[in-house]
This record gives sequence, C-alpha cells and structure tokens, in this order.
Amino acid sequence: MEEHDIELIERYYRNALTGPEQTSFQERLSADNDFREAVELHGDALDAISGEGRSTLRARLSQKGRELDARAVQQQRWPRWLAGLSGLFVIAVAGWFLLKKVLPATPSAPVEAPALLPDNALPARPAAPATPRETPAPPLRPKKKAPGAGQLFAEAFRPYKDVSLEPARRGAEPLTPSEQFQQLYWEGKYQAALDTFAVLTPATQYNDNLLFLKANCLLATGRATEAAALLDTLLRNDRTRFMTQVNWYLALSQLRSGKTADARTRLQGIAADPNSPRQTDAKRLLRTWK
Amino acid sequence: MSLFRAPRSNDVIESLRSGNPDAIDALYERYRADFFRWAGRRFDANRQDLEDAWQDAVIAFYEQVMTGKLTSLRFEVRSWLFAVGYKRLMNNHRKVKRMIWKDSIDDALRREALWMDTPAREAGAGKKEALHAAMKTMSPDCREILVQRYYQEKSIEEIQQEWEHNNANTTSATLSRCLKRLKELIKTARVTGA
Repeated sequence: MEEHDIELIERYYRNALTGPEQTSFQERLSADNDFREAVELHGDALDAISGEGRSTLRARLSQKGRELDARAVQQQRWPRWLAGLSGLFVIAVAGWFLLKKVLPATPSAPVEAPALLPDNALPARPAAPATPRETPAPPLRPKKKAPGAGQLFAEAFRPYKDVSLEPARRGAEPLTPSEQFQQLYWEGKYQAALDTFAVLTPATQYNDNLLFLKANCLLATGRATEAAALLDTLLRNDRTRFMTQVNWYLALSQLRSGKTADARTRLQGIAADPNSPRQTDAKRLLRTWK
Repeated sequence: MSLFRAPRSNDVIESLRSGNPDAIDALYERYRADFFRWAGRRFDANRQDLEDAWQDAVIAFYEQVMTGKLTSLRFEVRSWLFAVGYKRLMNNHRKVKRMIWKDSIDDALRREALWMDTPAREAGAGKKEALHAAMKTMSPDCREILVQRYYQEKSIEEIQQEWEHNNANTTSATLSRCLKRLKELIKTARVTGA
C-alpha cells in the first residue's frame, strides 16, 4: 500500500475527503479488493486504538472518582472544627505531660536515694527478710505495649528511592517541570514535589511512573487515603516500572489509613511471595505487628 | 477542583478540541455528585452502576467532541451528560423507580435521544477481544503514541513536543511504524482466528 493511499484512508476515517475524492474512494472500494482490505484493516486498527484510549480514560476517571470519594470520606470523618479541636486537645495533653516531667515531685518527703548518686553514697540497706509471702518483684521493664498502626507505619515507611531516580545533571540547562518534580522528590521535599506535580502537563500527570512517586509524596505528607487510591489504580494499570514495589506501598497506605485487615492480608501476600523485593520487609513488619 | 465555575457547553467543547485533557476531568468532577443524587432518586442502582453510567456519559461526550460529531450544544452540557447517563442506566436497569418528564434533562432526552447516544463503530465481542489482544502486544510507547494521535486527536507537532522528538518527521515515522506493526498484529490474529 502506497503512502498516498494510507493518507487517503486516514482522511476517509476522519471524514475529511472532498466530494470528488469521496466518489473516487467509493469506486475504488468496490473495484479494488486489496484497497478494500486495507481500508478495513485501518478501521480495525482505529477500533483497537479507540478501545485502548477508552480504557485508559476510564481508568483515569475511576482514579479521579476514588480520590473524590476518599476526600469526601475524610471530610465527613474529620470536619475542620473537629480536627482543630482534636489538635488542641493533643497539644494540651502533651503540655500536661511535659509539665509533669519538668516540675519536681511534691516535696513532702525527702528523696532518699536520688538516682544520680554514686552507689557508694547510698547508706547500706538492711537485707529484708525473705518471706514466702513476699509478692514477686515487678519485671525490670514494663511489658512492651503492642505497637499501633501509626507506629508500625512510621517504622516501616521510607519513601521509595533507587539509583535510577537520582537526577542527572545537565549543566546550565533549566529543568523541565517533570525533572523539577523528580529533583524535589529525590531531595525529600515531598510537599514541594506535590505542588510541582500539580502544574505538570496533563499528559505527564498520567505517567504511571511519576504517579508512583506522587503516591509516595502523599504518604510522606500524611495523605494515606489518597495514596492508597492512587496505588490501587497503578496496580490495576500494571504499567509502572515500579510495579514490584506498588503492593508494599499500598499495604503501608492501608495500614496508615486504618484499613488494617486489608493491610495485613496484603502484607501476608508479599511475605509469601519469594519474587517480591519486599518479602523480608513484609515478614519483619508482620512479626512486629504480632 | 474544577477548572471552571459554570462552564458553557460550547466552551467545554472548544477546550477539549484545543487539546486540553483537563477539561474532561473537570467536567467529570463537576457534575458527578449531582448526577449521583439525581440518578439515585430515579433508579434502584448501586454506587458502582451510577459511577459506570457517569463515566460512560463523560467518555461518550469526549468521543463525540473529539471525532467532530458534536460541535455545539443547544443546552447545558450537564443536561447532555445526564441524559446519556440516564440512558445507560435505563439500558442496564429496567426497574425505574420513578420518572418525571419535566426537567431540562428530560427535554434533552426527548429531543436529542436519537443522536446523542449513537455508539461509534462497534466491533463484535470476539473481534473486540482480538483487537484488544493485538493492542496489548504492542510496546507501551507505541500504544501511547497511537492513542495520542488517533484517540486524543493530538497533532503531530503536539506529540513531537511531548515526546521531545527532534522533528515532526521523526514523530510521523514513529507513528507510521507503530500503526504498521499494529496492523500486522491484527492481520496475524485474523489468520490464526484469534
């Protein structure tokens, strides 16, 4: 098929043929089998491309929908005034504990053996008679409280980095917005990276590799629900080159956003997967979780 | 967050035609909750059904605009979208809770139903699957560039800039190579009956 014919067929499908061109096109369609086949093949290719475009657009809209839903749930759960009030309460409690620590204990009785005195400064204590009824000594350390989801997350979460992400230096050339985003990400300036991401070109914003980094930024800035929705989409798209990491970060997002059952199941899956680069991390986290 | 507060139908169409893909996201977001409320009162449909119908409506609008079939609207874009979403739900859910033929959406449905929901060339299920498989065999770059050119209707120059090609010839050649490859794959699928 000649270049001219391909161009003609493209214009036919774009409804861009002139009247005479249309007439001659139809004549050729009925007389030339090869030509007709080429036209049909082009139509099929366009159908295949449309199908792909449609499913990409649908995935994008679904992602947007999940983000909107997550935002709505968060807003419902935490009205601003309540969030403010909670913040004040936390500050008050923290302040109270701090004051308690800083101020000396009530001076009603003299302190007999301050901890800082050397051992030999202590008066010899008469050995207490051992009695069978003596209550057992309390354990040297209080039993460690099981860590909460927030603590587990804090211990396990490190924004993803590998050498391929290290920004390349290109002399005096100005950075493109996408490079700026990656630079900020690399430097650990996650909020600034998110701000930069918001002004990337729309096409760049749908790049799954950058979206993976965005999800990490969201997690690093405490927006776990949004991160989870985004990572879930990346998992479905199956396009990012960080695919082997997505499950791990999704599990952490779920852990952070309170979906602990989902997080545990996902972590168990990672721990059981010998091909996952996060298998050891998942096992360790599950052990701590117990 | 919407890009615009009260979009006029023809502004949205213009914005899409000029290659602003954000316009479709903004449109999707702007009326989504409203559609859920509106359609939720009329249908015994769950949230996922409403979401699917809403996405179908937005995608149909996008495709109609990008293929040049929809160049202007006589009423609000919201009415168009709601009417299409409504029709999608009607097709999937016969149990209509109640129908009040009195608002602008109903007007749109009555007057424009014939053309607004006309599907594009629809392939049969088996053929669709084969085309999908052929497309998935392509490299991600080829897939993306073909979608940009033939679905998003981007110009060669726009694609050249986005892909940082040296010149438009490189872009054209890449497109041509990818399209040729796709056709070969479809041809092979036809022969093997996949």
